[in-house]
Amino acid sequence: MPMKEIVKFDLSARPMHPDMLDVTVNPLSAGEVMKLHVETGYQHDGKSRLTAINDRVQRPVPRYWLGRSAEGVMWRFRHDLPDLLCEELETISRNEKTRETPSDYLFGPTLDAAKYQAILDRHEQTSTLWNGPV
Amino acid sequence: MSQSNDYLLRDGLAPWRAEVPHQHPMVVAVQDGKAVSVCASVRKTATAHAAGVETLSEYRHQGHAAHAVIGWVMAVQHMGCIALYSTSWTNQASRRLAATGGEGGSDAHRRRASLHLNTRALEILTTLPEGIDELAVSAAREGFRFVDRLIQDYRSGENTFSKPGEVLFVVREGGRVKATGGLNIDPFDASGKTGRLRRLYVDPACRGNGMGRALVDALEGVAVQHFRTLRLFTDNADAVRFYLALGYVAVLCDAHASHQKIFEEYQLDTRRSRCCSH
Repeated sequence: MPMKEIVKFDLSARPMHPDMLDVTVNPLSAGEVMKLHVETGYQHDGKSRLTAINDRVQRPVPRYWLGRSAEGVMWRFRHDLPDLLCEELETISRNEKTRETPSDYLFGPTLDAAKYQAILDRHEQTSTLWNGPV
Repeated sequence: MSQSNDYLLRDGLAPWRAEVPHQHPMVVAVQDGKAVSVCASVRKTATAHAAGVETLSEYRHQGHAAHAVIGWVMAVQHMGCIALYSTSWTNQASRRLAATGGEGGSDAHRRRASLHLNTRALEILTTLPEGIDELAVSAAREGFRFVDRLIQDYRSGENTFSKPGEVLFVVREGGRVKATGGLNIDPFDASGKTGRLRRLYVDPACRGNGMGRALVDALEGVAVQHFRTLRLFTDNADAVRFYLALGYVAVLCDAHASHQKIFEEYQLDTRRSRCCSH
């Protein structure tokens, strides 16, 4: 193979702007995608409460689910969770921060799950805590 | 997968065989005459499908899962549905697959990138090199305008790839510019920790001989020193195959990136997260 050289261009400081040619329009907003996640993952009752995992293999349904996106926060309760507990969880969920940048999505469960777990543990000891990017 | 070829799942991934009729579409990566990685719709509605993925342990870190996932995404989209992927923070391999470089985005690849930088002569120029216009003409013949855009933006000062961590490379052969590719700070991530591959173009006559790979290796060699993630956008099928072969994986549901690779793993706070997938 013939020799090749890699040449580096100059390094003078100049402003840079987003290149819109690289962008396509995604038909779904971040909030819509998050809603799809929960609706695909779980079966709901008429009050948008979780009733089952949407899977052929039935496993325990989470008592609480929270999803954050750049558009806001959404949450779901298991259908049999006491109303008072739901109200407590709802109060702190409303104050949860949204996720804003790709790095937020990739590099960190910045959500403080402990405060949710403390409330849920009063109802029943939490056996499983799952979090991750979607 | 269908029941006509589900025998491919007989070794190691046998539990998936019973799911073939139910978890459609199911896509596998095949090597050594058997399925080594599988991706299927484990949860689905009329609107969206959620992926389940498994790769045989001895075939991990080779990009098989990335290929299975991409095939699955295409199949789901062909059905008019939306492909969803989620993973636990505790599952680092799965996160790489879901979010960036897939199972092929390894340390070995980064070391190879550094090697390319060290063994090739680098020159710092003060202007665009002569001959890059020829490359722009070649690109335009294929319907790509981005080399033109590169030249215009560079000359106008709009984008000179000159912020910290940014760089623009060309590859010459026989005195002529045969390829170019740039690295910018990703303008869509305010953290500044994400790089963006841009304006990567290789002359058609030079494809298939490693020139594009050398160029990306060189760009990654710079990127790994400045960024945690490298992203790009392409909707060209040949380019998609090229990036998949280099360990990039698709980014789902993102308006600004189609593929990406992670350089640094997030350090999980295990005190918060005690368990895995539900």
